[in-house]
Amino acid sequence: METTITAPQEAPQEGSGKNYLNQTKGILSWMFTLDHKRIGVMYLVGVMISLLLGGMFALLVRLNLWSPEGLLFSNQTYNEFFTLHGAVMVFLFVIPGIPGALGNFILPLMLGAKDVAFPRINLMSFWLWAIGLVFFMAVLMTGRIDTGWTFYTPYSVTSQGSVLWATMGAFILGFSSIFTGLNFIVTVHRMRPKGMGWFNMPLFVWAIYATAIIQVMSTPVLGITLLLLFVERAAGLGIFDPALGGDPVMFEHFFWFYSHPAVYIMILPAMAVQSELMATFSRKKVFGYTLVAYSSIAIAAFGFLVWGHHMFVSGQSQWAGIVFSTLTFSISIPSAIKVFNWLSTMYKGSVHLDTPMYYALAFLWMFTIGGLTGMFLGTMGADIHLHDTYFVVAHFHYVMVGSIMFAFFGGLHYWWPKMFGVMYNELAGKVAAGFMFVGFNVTFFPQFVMGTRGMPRRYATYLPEFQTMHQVSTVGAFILGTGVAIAVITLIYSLINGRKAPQNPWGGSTMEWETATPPITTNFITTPKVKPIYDHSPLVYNEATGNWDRIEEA
Amino acid sequence: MNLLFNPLIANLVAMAQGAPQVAEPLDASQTGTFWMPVEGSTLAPQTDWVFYYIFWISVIFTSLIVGVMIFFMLRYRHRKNWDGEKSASHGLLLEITWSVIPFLLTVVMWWKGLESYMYADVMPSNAIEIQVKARQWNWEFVYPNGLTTDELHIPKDEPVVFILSSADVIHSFWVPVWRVKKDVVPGRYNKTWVEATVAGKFNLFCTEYCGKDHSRMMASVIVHGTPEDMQAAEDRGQYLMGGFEQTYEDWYAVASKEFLAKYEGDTPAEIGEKVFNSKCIACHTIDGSASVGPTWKGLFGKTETLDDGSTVVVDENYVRESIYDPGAKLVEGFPALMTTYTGQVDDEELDGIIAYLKELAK
Repeated sequence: METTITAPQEAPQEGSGKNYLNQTKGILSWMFTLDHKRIGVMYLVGVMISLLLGGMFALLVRLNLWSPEGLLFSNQTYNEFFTLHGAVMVFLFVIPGIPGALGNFILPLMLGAKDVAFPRINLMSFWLWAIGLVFFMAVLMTGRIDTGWTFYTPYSVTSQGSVLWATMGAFILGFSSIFTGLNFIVTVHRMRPKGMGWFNMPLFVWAIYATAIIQVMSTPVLGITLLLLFVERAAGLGIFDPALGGDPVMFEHFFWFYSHPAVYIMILPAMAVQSELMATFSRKKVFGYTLVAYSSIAIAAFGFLVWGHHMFVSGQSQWAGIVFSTLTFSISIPSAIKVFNWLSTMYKGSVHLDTPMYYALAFLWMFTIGGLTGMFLGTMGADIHLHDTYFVVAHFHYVMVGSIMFAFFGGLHYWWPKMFGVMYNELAGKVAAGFMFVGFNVTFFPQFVMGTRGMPRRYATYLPEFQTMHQVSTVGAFILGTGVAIAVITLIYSLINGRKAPQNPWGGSTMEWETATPPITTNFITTPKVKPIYDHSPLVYNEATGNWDRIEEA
Repeated sequence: MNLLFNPLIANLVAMAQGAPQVAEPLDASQTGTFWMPVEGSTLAPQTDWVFYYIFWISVIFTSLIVGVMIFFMLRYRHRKNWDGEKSASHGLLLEITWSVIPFLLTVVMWWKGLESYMYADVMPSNAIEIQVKARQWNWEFVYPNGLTTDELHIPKDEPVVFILSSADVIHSFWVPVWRVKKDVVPGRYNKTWVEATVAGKFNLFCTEYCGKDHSRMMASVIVHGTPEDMQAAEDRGQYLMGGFEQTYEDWYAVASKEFLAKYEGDTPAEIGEKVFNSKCIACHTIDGSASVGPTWKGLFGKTETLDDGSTVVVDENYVRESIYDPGAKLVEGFPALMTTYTGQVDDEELDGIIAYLKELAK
């Protein structure tokens, strides 16, 4: 029986060395590109800048909390910093990050497709994101905001500061999100190759698809809410401010109706990455594939029904609270199933502890803690004590940073060779992951204890009894920041001095690894044959080239 | 940037001077645990039960998951004599087991959480009612006879209902030792209640972000002990500490007498005049003549020009803002010398000032 090693998909007529990065030159060829890969790279640059900006605000916040009376800034300034930290991170990094930077690049490749369903809408999504960034820059330069990223009324109606710029920025970013979601839904439905049924797709695609459904269905509610807030503030129409005859609790309902599903927009793409990392670095099919796929859909669906768990002490009715608490528990089951299934994927696998796997293993640990601490908050009686305390802050950072940011870096380190054709320094990558892991836990674990003991959130000053724990947390934040800096520097350095990457350095079994490295503009010359999903057996490591060659039966 | 108000400078100066700590320490008669403060109410043991139930489940599951992860990571790592082995790709029985068992555990969480929440959220009858008035950035407590304080006093072992109202934005009423929390929402009344079981002096925090001095919006809570508690405290040498000095009844009688002597029989305008004479007369006049600040004669209802060129009508909200945040809308031609009266002018006095200004504008 003849076997052949599949060659990388380089377009012979384009000559060697031509890929999506250098196919055309000049800034306009990037600004007006229709290539999903270039759009993904532009998103990557943008969200990394946002991460660093949001991270800078975080360090300023933690620095000020070194002293109970505020080390450096006035209360007003501190309040602006924590607000901007939250708003920049949520709207400019976490929500668009993985779908925009990694999803855009990888999704069509995983489907053997040339591009997404609507390349022009894809470009528009990116420019809407960029305009949103400009609006937030305007916020920084015209008076900033101090309302918290949650914009609760009536404070956000009357507060000094650039609330109008911020709400419009978030409104525009919402459309970026909606169009991305629309694009991905149609791409998954219509652009799968022949032979790739729903249950033969990578789990990355399932989770991105579930994300897209939420993006399309929930984001318009945020848009309307922000528009109402804008109108109330600008024109004095009484909607949420009781002084104008409005209802502030109604704002909370409208806001959280989007913002709770939004956290599933944030976590599902991270789970998408996690599935891929666990499969490739255990060299095994994800355990319980079908249930993991359904869990993504279940999380998306139930996520729409639980928003009132942010409002147990707002004065909403007891019956509403009971319904929301009950439904909140329903989400814990699919999430737990995913964790157990990822864990089981390693059983009798061949575990390769490369840098992306470090991030994936850290994700398992920290998502477990983040998810379990959510149970405390979904339990009505416990939530009375824990709501609006540092316990909540710790919980959501374990999910947003410990899980989502780690998955983002894990995915980035995984697909970096494919995207840019270079390998980064593995040791530096692992050291960065280590700093991030240690720094993250030192920052946020003490915050659980602070919360239960009586430390409210969004406090610029605090009682001296909390000082030691605040200082420990601050030290952790700087360790975490150092880790992020090392990771970013390592990746950027690889662009300058990195070893040329082989076609498939990690032995991934999904279709994106069958393109050239970096891919040619049209991705594939011929669509690869669809194979059983997560079948790693045809991949054999080649010591000489560092590549995992795909051996095909003739 | 005014360096005098730069916190960094202030901190360095304070450190050099060996300045004292910011707030008084708690003096509860018991201590809490690593995670929780003292259980100071009938609600607290219920809250803590459900907290620790979830806590131990979390510890067990986290240890299991992380333990298995580390074991698999080491046992199945790729090396010379190990490159993976075929194993089942799914297992329905396993999936059902690890779904059903956690589900059953969560049913208990859900139920106990519901139970303790309903206990906290259904008001008892025959309780003392205290109005809690929140505003940026202080608390005011109004007792049945009109007595108004900025420290909350309640008796031990008796149900007390709090009627929460806000003058401006959303605040939240939280006493950690009681495990009691409820948002204070403008434009409506929210209620919560407590039956305190530990005497002493505790903290009340605002715990819904409400602007600049949200983190300074604290109040002291004095739970007055029984005569037996007072004797026990005296034996320990703690008898001068809040909650152990006198019974609630004694405190109430004395405080009411003092308060009503100060304010009884005064109309709001008379209250306002009294406040003017004690707090405002240094910089304002009532006869129209010039002084450090604008004259109060004819002021209410006037359209003032501000230092940035815009205009404002002097109404209730403007008066309130000028007293609590004097620099926000500064009248043209006057120096920015007025400091805030937050904590020094309360709701009743503010109502009085407004009434007095209206008199002077007639």
